[in-house]
Amino acid sequence: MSVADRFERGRLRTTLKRYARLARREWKLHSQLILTLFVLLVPLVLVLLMSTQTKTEILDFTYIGVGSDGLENYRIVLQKYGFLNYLTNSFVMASLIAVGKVGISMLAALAIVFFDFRFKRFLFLFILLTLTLPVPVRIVPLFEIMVDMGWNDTMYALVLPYLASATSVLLLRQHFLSISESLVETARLNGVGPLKFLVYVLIPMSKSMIIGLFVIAFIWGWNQYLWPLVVIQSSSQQVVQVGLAELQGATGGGQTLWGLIMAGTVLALLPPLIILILANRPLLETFNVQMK
Amino acid sequence: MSEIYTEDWKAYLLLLPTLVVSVAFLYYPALKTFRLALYQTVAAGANRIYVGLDNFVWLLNSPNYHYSFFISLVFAAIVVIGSMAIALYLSYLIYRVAVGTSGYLVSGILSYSFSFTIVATIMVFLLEPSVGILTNLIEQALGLEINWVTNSTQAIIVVSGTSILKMVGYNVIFLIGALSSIPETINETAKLDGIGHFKLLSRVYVPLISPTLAFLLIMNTVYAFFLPFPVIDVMTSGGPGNSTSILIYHLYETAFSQSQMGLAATESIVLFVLVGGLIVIQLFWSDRAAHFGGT
Repeated sequence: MSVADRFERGRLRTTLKRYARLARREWKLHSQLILTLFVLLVPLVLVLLMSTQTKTEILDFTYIGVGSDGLENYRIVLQKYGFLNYLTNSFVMASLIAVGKVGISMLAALAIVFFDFRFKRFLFLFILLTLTLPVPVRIVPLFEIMVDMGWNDTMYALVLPYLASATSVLLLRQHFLSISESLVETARLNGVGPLKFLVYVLIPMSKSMIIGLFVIAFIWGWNQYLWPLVVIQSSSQQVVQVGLAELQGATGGGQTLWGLIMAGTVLALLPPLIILILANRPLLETFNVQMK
Repeated sequence: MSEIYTEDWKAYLLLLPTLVVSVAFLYYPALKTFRLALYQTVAAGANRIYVGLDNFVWLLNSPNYHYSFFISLVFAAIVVIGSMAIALYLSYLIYRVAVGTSGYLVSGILSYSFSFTIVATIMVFLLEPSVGILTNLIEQALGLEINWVTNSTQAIIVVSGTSILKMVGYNVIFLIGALSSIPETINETAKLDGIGHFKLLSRVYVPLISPTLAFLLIMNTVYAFFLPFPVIDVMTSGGPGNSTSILIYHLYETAFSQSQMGLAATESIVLFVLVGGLIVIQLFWSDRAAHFGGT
């Protein structure tokens, strides 16, 4: 063992010791945290386990563990209950909403922050006040508009109404306003056009926030239920949230097939869950911009 | 000044996509809602008759709608207080702990990624009156019989509890942000004085983060009025009887089960006054003018 190795080990040991000492002093906090998170997350763990159980195992209260059905429930749900299709539709819907929302909001924020134009205050307020109009407030006419345009039962109906985003415009505006004046001044002196300024200066400087907004919009789009339920009629166009609710009618031999339903649930929750875990830093940072 | 560009037309062009979508899918349908509210739909939606304010009068005199309004308020109160209290407790613990903070934080915000539909589907199974594993556990531990499919009080508790599970993550995100911005010197002083956790939280931290708490109070209330629709639809369909038929579910039934589009539009206006009013208060009362996800 070289001296450097021994030094490294020694350092590791002191770090571990320090952590152990801290953890000991904090055991009350840790036990409360673990207990609270356990209560909040135990449903998720149970669902993961039960999605692998057979019809009889899942109805046995005393059987809590990985079932003997393996991934069979998943295969059936994907192949026979249209989940592959639902998941694809949800993915397309959520991605288009996220890309579209963030894209057009960046253009709007660029105009609001870096342009001087007439009716600016009015137009900003006009965008801001769309916050008071969530889907339930306009659902009946919105549905009729989609029918009139022949867009009901299509991806247009799922994506278009969600594209405008006062939230994204506001957050990007706040972020753009914090960009240093000297940088903006340099761009002005060099005669850099607005689109070039957006692509080469603003976007690279706002990467974390753009990822955060993208994640928020993707999760929001993926989790929509009421609007797809109303505007989509054929199951080939349906999204996974509504597909999951419909799966609850799945029965075999007079019994509800809970294993299938739990497998469907896991499939429906995994994509946003993975995205949240991977992008938790930019997501938290984006939310925290609000706090300042 | 950051306003380095001056061509009006370029600015309008950049704003165009947002403005077009806002007008076509937000303002125009919202205005149509107000017009539609003056009509009665007859013959299964085929015809419309102008009835003036009759729809409003009808709602004012409908005991069913009164109940729906009342239960929405009860439901919102339980969900808002419940999810904020749990989130505050959890955030405080995460904020205080020094080892494993990021792991706890990510676990604490996981529910932000779940949909109400998913949480509801999970709870339908785990709390199923005869085969649910949690039903069995609770019945044995507390010695009471669980059947929220037929018992109204239990149904209200179950749908509110399910919505609370989903809302905690959103609140933790904001509360952690607020707690982290508290100056370190205040923590040091508090620790030196040896104040207990509960006193520290209620006397020192809560007043310091009160702007965030006020923001969350409004946003959670707004959300509680319309986001938990899937919980009701998946778990109880408004039942038993109409005991869990909150305003948004009532509206959905009026529009898409009974095809009473005019009346449904009127119900939309009631929701607009409640929800829109709260958001306007939020926008103009604080400068923290952003609301997540809504539109």
